[in-house]
Amino acid sequence: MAENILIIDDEAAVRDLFAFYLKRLGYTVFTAADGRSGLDLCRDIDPALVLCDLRMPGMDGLEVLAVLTQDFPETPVIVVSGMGGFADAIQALKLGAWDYVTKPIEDFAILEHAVGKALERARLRAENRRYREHLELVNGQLERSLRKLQEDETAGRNIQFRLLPDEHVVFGGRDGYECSRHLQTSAILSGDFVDYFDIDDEHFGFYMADVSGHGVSSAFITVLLKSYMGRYVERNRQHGDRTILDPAAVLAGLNRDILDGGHGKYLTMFYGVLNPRQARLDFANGGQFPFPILYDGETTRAIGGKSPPVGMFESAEYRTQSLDIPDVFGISVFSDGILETLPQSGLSAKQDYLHALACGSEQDASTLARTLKLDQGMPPPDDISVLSLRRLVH
Amino acid sequence: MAEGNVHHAERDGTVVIRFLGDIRYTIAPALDRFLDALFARQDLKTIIVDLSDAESIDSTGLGLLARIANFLRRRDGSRPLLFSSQPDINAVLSSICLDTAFIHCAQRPDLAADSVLAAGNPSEKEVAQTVLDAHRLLSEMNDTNRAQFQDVVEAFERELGKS
Repeated sequence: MAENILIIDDEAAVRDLFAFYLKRLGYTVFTAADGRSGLDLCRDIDPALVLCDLRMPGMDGLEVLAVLTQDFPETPVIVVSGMGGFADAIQALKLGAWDYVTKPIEDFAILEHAVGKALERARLRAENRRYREHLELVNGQLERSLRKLQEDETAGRNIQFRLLPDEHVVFGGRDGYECSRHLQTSAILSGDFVDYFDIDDEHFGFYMADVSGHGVSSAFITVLLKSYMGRYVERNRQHGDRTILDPAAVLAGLNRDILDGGHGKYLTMFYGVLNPRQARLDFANGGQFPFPILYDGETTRAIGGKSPPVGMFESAEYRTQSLDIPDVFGISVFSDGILETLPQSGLSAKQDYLHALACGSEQDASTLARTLKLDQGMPPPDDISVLSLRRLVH
Repeated sequence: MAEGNVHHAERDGTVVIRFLGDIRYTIAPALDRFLDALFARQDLKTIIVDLSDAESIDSTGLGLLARIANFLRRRDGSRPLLFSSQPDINAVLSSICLDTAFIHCAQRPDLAADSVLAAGNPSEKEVAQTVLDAHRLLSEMNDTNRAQFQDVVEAFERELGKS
């Protein structure tokens, strides 16, 4: 489509000459003999470019220019000045003209070039503006989507945290056992999970799990895990199925469930069943590392040992171990995210530090987290959770 | 933290996958696609994993190693060869029994091929031979430039860009 060009000039000869030439270049040309009718015409046809004489009776070129830059800021204006009107031309450029040509024109290529260049620049500017508007629009949409996602994740986090047990729970009465937990997540949702719960009148269970990977998909698996564990508890209550009391059997069952799920995730898990009346603990490890730390009033030692994670190998075998609980007794479990945040260099130095930390039965999970400065500063690179179990002595 | 990456090279159906730097979940999608393509191939003989230059490996990376071991075990009962000499990485591998899913060689693969080898697993004759062959292959790959190790992630991100 040919672009409209408006010529405003009080000299008919100049108007006609410019019009003739620009028409030959393929533009559609409109003309006006004075500033005021030129502006009226401009509002009618919204030209792609205006050529405007500076010296005109009545409304002069600079006044026309002032209205044009105000009302048509996107429309290029080329001013036409007589010989010796350089000062006018420079003034016009300062006031927003895009370019100027002098008349009489000796070489029409100059006009052709000035018009072509101004139109090209206007096109680029319009294109840039469209890009910017598009980007702002898309950005706005992105921000809204992101907010929506964050709201969703926050809602997910609230659900996930409601699935967690209370921060402190005492099992087995006044001289029983206290379980406590602390979770520090790297993202909004956690791939770590901790739970402790009554199994029957004689036992309670506790576990820490760490699902591979990060974010939403890992958090889903923690929810799945909680429901699997709930199913075992329910089967015990309703049918006397003793699987939930046998840690190795639970891990083997979960191993099948996770593999059958085929979601390409696995988890590490340490699960224990404690009988307060008999002061007896049965436990099995499913790849939890660093190994849980047991404190017996004198020393600490790692328990659980090497074992396959849950949902990694079809042929995984798990082993239930048992121990009689001493009078002074605590177990501290840290998920592997802790290793990335400890300042010591090398794995064994980090483990020694955790053992020194677990030495004592005075501290619960939040105390441990405070000592480790987990609740300060940036979110950690990986989820970190702490599970603490200790025998209460009065 | 420097982003880790993964290189691969092959000769006669033996594919070497080399992990470098900090192996984190960010490179997992590309590596997953690489393994999909690899496992679909008829001419794949065996896989050698080299962790000699890995600084660390996260849970997602460990899952990918398990994927490699599980694939070969299901296919023909064989185990991939694993070179891993960093004590901290080996401690993690053995804590979750992942080392036993491989023929684990606790030294760098760049020693002379005729030296005595200490395979981490009970070294049956066949295993010792496998390890020896792998050493020869890898030292040849290192000595000549015929085996061009390629960046797995780059290759697969490029393909993704095309699709």
